[in-house]
Amino acid sequence: MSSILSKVKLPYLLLLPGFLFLFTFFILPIVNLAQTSTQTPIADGDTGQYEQTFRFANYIDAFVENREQFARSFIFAICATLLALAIAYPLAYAIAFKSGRFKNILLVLIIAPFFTSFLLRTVAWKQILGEEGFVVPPLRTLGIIGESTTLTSTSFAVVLGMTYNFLPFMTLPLYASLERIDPRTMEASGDLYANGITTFRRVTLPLSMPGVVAGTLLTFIPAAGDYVNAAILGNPNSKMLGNVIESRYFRIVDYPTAAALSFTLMAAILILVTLYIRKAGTEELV
Amino acid sequence: MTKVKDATIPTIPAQARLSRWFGRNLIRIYAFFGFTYLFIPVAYTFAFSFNDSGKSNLIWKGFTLDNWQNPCGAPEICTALGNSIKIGLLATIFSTILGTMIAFAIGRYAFKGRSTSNLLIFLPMATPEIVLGASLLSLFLVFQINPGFWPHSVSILLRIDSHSVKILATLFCW
Repeated sequence: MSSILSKVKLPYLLLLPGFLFLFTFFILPIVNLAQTSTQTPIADGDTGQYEQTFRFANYIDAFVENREQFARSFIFAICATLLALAIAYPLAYAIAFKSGRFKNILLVLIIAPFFTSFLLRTVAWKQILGEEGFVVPPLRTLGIIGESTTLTSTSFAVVLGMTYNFLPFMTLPLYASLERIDPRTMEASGDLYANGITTFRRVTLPLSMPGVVAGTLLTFIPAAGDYVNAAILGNPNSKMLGNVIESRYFRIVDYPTAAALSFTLMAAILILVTLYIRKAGTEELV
Repeated sequence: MTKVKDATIPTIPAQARLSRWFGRNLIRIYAFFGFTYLFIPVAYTFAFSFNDSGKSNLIWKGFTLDNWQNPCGAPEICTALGNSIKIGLLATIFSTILGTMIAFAIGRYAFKGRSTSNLLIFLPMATPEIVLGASLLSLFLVFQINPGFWPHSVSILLRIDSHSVKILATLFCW
């Protein structure tokens, strides 16, 4: 009897410490943030002093004021995700099927950029794409880009930086799902007179869908909320929602707007992700 | 005895051979460029650590080992390194313990509230870093805890924890 009881309780006991942690350091702060989001400035208070007035119009104001950055966050994140997918899929495919005995080394190489700080690599991109870097002068000489065109401080640089920074998050899940494919399924496809392209389209790609979904989510979610790339590689006209939240929170001390924007961003991400998972029909991640 | 003409042995012209090699290795060539893209900034940073630049490290001015001579010379660099290692280790250890326990429960047991737990694990992952950081900071300010070593550890742990749970849960489900 007692063993049955403990068997019922065991998963809850296992969950307890982790959920206590999540409760204290995730739920509580988020509730606190929700509270902040409907506050208004105290009438004769100093800057940064707010009182609770349940003003839900904060959300509408914040959204209307920042709808451009909002749209940009999602457009940039989608571009970066698609680019990362286009780069990472063949990369993961090559590692999974064409690398032979170098497989493990190549996998380590995918993670190796993490050994240098994310900030440092982004700053390095700023210099590489800068006026004195090794990309702009040759392109100018060849006439591919005009004399007055610059690569840094552009939306292009921001998307490139995001693609770069989230590429490993895309590659690893793709590799994991490609790795799991039984090569005999591809051979069988060949035996049934499918050519390489048909085999890829009808066998390999569908079987690797869980990896595609996991990879795109792991790239899209942080990319939509990213602010570092836009801050380092962008210009005032390529600011994303993350940058607005950051400056509202830490520089202008406009906590209610920052909080309202945070919730709008979270909600938008959750809705998009839910729709995407429904559409892709995988329960792998959620 | 007549010699068999060369033409009877099908030889492939050099150009076709090249394009065939190219076709077979296309994906490898593509992967090579992919890895190049990944390593450009790392290589750049490494190369410019030898730059004899003085203040601004934008233009290559000459080779020097000076920057490597005295790694703890710049104030706070070694303290920061120590903190990075300490926080990294702590976050790894705790997230492995907490994450494995949650992942084991979710992956191996069917229980009431399983899908809710799953959602709760996913939420921190779907929360942008800036939102997590800002909300934690305001919580610490409410309780008048000054930002520092422990708050920083907690915020990193929160980030890693939900990721490790997801990965481990997938592993346990198999």
